[in-house]
This record gives sequence, structure tokens and C-alpha cells, in this order.
Amino acid sequence: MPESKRPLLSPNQYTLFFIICLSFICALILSLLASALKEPQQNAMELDRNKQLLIAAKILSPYGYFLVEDEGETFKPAKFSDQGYLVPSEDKIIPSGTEIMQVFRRRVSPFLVNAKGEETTFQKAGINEQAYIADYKKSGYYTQREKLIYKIFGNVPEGKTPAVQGYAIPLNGMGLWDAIYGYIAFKPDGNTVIGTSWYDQKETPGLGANIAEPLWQSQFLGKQLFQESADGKTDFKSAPLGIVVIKGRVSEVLGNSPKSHNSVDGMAGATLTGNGVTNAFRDCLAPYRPFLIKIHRSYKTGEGK
Amino acid sequence: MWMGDFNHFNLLGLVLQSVFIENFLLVNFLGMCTYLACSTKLKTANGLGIAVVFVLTVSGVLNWLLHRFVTGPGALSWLSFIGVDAERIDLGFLEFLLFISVIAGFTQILEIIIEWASPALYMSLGLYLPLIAVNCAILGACLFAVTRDYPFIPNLIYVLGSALGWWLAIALIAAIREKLAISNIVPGLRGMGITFIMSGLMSMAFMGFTGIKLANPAPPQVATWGEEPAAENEEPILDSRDPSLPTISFLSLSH
Amino acid sequence: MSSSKQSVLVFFTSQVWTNNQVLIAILGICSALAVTNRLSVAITMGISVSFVTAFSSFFVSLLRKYTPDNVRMITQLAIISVFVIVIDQFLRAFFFDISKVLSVFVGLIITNCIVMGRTEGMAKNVAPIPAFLDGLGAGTGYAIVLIIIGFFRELFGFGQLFGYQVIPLEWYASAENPEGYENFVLMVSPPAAFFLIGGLIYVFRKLQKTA
Repeated sequence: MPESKRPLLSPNQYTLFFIICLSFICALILSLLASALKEPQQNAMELDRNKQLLIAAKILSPYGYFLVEDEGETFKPAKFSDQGYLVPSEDKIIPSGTEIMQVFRRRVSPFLVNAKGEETTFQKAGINEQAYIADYKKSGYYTQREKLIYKIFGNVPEGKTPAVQGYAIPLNGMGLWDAIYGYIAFKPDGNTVIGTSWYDQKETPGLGANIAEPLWQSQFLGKQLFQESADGKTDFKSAPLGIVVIKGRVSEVLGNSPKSHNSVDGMAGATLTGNGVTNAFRDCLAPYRPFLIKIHRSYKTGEGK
Repeated sequence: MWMGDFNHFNLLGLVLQSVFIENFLLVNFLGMCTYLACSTKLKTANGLGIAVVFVLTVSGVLNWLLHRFVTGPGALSWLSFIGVDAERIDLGFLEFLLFISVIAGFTQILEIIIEWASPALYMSLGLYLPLIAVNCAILGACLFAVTRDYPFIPNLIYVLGSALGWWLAIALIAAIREKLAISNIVPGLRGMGITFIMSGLMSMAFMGFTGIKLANPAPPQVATWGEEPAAENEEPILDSRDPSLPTISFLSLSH
Repeated sequence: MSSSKQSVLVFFTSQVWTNNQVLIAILGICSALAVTNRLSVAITMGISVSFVTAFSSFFVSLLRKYTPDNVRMITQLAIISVFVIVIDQFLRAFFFDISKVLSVFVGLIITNCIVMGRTEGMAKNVAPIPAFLDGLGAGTGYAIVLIIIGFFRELFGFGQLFGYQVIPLEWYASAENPEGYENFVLMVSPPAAFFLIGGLIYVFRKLQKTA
């Protein structure tokens, strides 16, 4: 019979018991927390990505409030009203995450194009949308046979059919330090840019990270994707495609020449990040060229009516 | 998994990047505490440095395996060979805990082995090992390597390079501190104050290395767009990649 | 009764002032340098570290009589990791923008010398409540230093505070005004943080001597 003074477990056994209990309790707490927070986390990620697309499309301002188009390519603050229709507002109201998602679902619709410029939907192509978006985020949707692109609809009240206001293409690139991800939004003519945003970048703060700053991004409005030739006309089949980040300011270096229409100011001290952005445009837009030509043609014939 | 899209030139670039351009101590600021608070001599700095090189390289590799087979996205898919479908289970939230446990555990085992194998070595090096377990640089390098998704060999090179860079920076700072100790410094700044300012100047010097880009796999040539449209009848989609693009992917599996 | 309350609060205040972890004990430097680019990030980091230090100290102290001595370190690390993971998951769910900037530095709170320093140095020797206050004080002292550094770096490096433009845009150099103000970009890069902390240590010591 053990003496009453002998402890229940030897020191080593106690240590083992203690560690096992500790590990079990820690793992339990963390697992519970992780599963409880999983959905908010995924929503937060999706919201962030979608916000950036809306910023590129000038539906959301980089400062957080909604925008509607005003006369002459300016934008003014707007607010959320029933079902996602935006009305102009005096104050800059910051919408909630659910409101942003509602507006996104109402006005943005993802679809796929292939190398010939033919459109299809995820359903028809038999591709799972969530899996596709998650799997090819890093390697780039433009590398796939079916390439991701978004249709942006206009702001109309409930019940009316909206017209296509523009398109947005996701961009992948390599900055100075790490990969950069963003969007470019352009008008239905397949050429004029509405805006751009960079939602995932690890560039040098204050230098390369300026690509995520509203001030630098604001110069993209009205630029063209295709480079004009010297005579002012654009040959969509062969012109270089993509916005170029030049060294120095466009107003000083290029003035008002045709090349200035698809160039933006470089950032002092961030040439390599700027080059990364230029390369991202060039490489990501090239596979969409047939589609851009197609929509440009139909835009032209639509205009001619 | 082993080399991904990296070629040998990229590995050289990776060494340069982790030792100089992204020097762990002077650019990412990890690993200062243990050093600043306790050593002013070059000898101690070297001891610390060697210990860190060893611990970081081995832990870096162990943690890569951990990330690849346990905590990374889709990591548990190997369980399928015993019939369990665990691909969608995401244990990522346990990563911090497991990483630090591996580091602390390995440091402990290493200490025991050194004490058993060579008491002389233990005398000179063994004192630093507990300090190193909590060195920000070790956990930091493991976490950075994991966020960048390197394949095995580049990961090994990256952690080794980071440790070497850390050692280099520590040795440089210690050497300067030895001289500073006998210099005539403003009383308020003596000791820690001047050490920080000096580290700042060194950090500026290391900034001069920015922009050397050998470490990343080559970007593809621009996809040529010819006049002919793609073939009329395409094979069924087994591989979803666009066949008109070159096969080296821009952002390889490693990034 | 009031004297015991007094002495318990001393745990808190000594950590913030006389024994400030960053400026006197020179701990927790790593993150103080790396995440102070922007004020919002600095504050988030300060609050996170306070949370982790306070609660880890509390639980380490709670378990101090049951922890076997040879696994003391790993127990502390495990408890600290749990709280850090809690913070990380929470940030990623509700403050996604900031968690993107902080990325791995949240995880590095585990190896933040302040946290370990407090659990090893204080928490395992004292009762839970003083340990909690001690941890909270250490975190607060750290947060204050971070806020000061973040303030200067964001103001001079970006001309902003909390993202709001403080230095008027009209002052900036542009095509019309080539002699205008330019942001002090060095402030945003690593060396500036070193210089600022060196300067702060100097100022702090002077203040303590005359206080």
C-alpha cells in the first residue's frame, strides 16, 4: 500500500500530464475561436477585394463613401438607398460592409472570356467560381484559358434595366519586393480608363506604396489603354496595349503628344515599382486584346446608329 | 516542390537578397532585443551569430515541412492515402503555436546534444541557446519564408542567408560598439542612445543595396498575338492554362 | 486597505514610467521600429501587445504553482501564443486593412521580449492581479513610445496623421511650385526609426534625471 505522503504522479509523469492538458486546452480554445471567426474573416477578405474593384470603377471613393457620376467626368458623394441604388448626398457617408456588398452584387458581374474574345459564364464553362478565384489569384487569371473579367452596370433605380457602364480586369504583377494585385476599370469602348486600384502590395511605404494612394491613382481617369499612333488614330490590332509608368511627369516629358494618353507620372525613388506596374498592365491585358477589340467594334457600331 | 521555378541564378540572387538587401537586423529589425540588451563584445556577437545560423537554418526547414504538411492551405491532403479526406481542413490558426514550439523544442534538444557531445562547446555557446529561442529573427524568418511560399531549396537558402545576414549585422554593430565604448560621446547618449543612432546609419548604408533583382524567377516573354485565331477544334480542357501563353508562369508556384 | 491598493497600482505605473520597457529596459525594439510607419498601425500594435502581455502575465501567474520548473519556458510560450493567435484572428476578421499591413508582425508579438520579460521576470513570482497590472503597464508604456514615434514618422514622412492630410496639399512642390514642400521620405524608412528611438532615449533620460 502506498504511504499517504507519496504524491500521485512522479515528477516526470506530472510534467507530461501538465503539458498534455495545456496543449489540449490551448488547441481547444484556438479551434473554437478559429471556426467562430472563419466566416467573418472570409467576408472581410471578399469585402476588401470587392471594395478595391468598386474603387477602380469609381463607384466607391478611396476615402470610403459611395460616388455617382456628375457632369463632365467628375464624381460626387452618394449614399445607399433602397436595394443598392445610389443617390447623391451632401455628406460623405461611409457605408457598412453589407451595403457595399449589396451594391457590388447589383452592379458588378463576373464572367469569362477566352483567347478569341468570346464570352461565357462560369456556369456554361463548368467552372466553380469560388475555387477559380481562390486558385488562380497568385498565378493570374490572365494565364488561364478562360480569363476572368467583370462587367460593370450603371446606377439605375430598382426595376429598370441597367446599361453596361464599363468592365474591370484583375491585374497581377511583380513590384520591387513582392507581388502586386489590382484592378483596372475601363469604359465600354474598350479603351478609355475609368480608374485603377492596387489592393495587395508590399512595396516600400512612402515610395512604391504610392501606387495604392488615391493621389497617384487619380491620374488614370481618362487615360487610354491602347497607344495612339502619331497621326492620332489608334490601330487596335497592333498598338502597344497597357498604361506606361514613365520616369518623371507626363506633362513635362510627353506634353500633349499621343503617347501621353496612355502614360502616367512616375514616382520619384520608386522606378522599379513603376516598372512593375507597367509590366503588369502589359502582361495582364495582352490576352484580353481580342475581347477589347470586339467590344470596341460593337461600341463604334452602336455609336454610329 | 523542391526548386519550383527557381534556377541557380535565382538562388544566388536570393542569397544576396537575404544577406544584404533584406538584412534581417538592419532592414526588418528583427532580433535586436536579445542583442542590444546584453552584449557589447565582438566575441559574444560571434557566438550568438553562429548559434542563430544553426538554429534558424534547421528550424526554418522543419517549419517549412510543418507548413507544407500540416498547417498550410490544403496541407493535409496527404492524409488521403490512408483514406481520410482532409484537404479542406485549415489548421492555419495553429501555425504560430506550432512554429514557436518547434523552435523552442529544437533549441532545447540542441542544448542537450551539445552538452553531451562537447562540454567545451557548451561552455562557449550553450548559454546563448535559450536566448535564441525567443529571438524575433528566428520566428520572423520562418514566418516570412512561409508567406512567400518558397519551394524547399529556395526556402533553405533564404533562411540560411537571413541567418548569415543577421550574424554579419551583429558582428558589425559589436565591432563598432567596442570602439564607441572608449569614445567621447555626449553623456545623455552614451550606451543605448548612440548605439541606436549608429544602427540607423548602418541601416541607411544597407539601403544602398535595394533594387538588385536576381532573386525572382524570370517573367515570361510578352505573349505574342498573331493574326490567326486559335485553332477551331480545341482538345477537351485537361489543363486549364491558356495554350497561347508561354509555359513559364509569371508568378511561379513559389510566389 | 487603501495602502494595498496603492502598492498594487505601483506595478502599473512603474512599468509605464520608471521602468519603461522600451526606453529603459530596451526591450520590444523590433516591432517598435517596424510598425510605426503609420499612427493607426502603431496604436493597433500597442493595444495588441498590451492585451497579450496583460493576459499572459495573468494566466502564467495563475498557473505558477502548478507549472513544473523544467517546462516553465514552453508553458509561457504556449500561453503567450494562444493570446497572440486570438488577437491575430480577431484582427483578420474585423480590422482587415490593418491586419494586412501588420501581417507577420502580429505573430512576432510572441517573441517580443517585453512579453517574455514580464512573464519570466514578474508574473511567475507574484499573484495574478499584480501580474496583470504589471503586464498592462508594460504594454501601455510600450504603446506610448510607439505612438510618439508613429506620430513623427507619419507626420513628416507622409504629411498625414491617421490618413488625414495634416500638412496642407498647397504647400507641396508641384509643376507650378517647384520650391514647395516635399515629404521627408527618410522618415518612412528604417533608419529614421533608429534615430527617433535614440533621440527619445536621450530625452527620456534627461526627464528622469530632473524629475
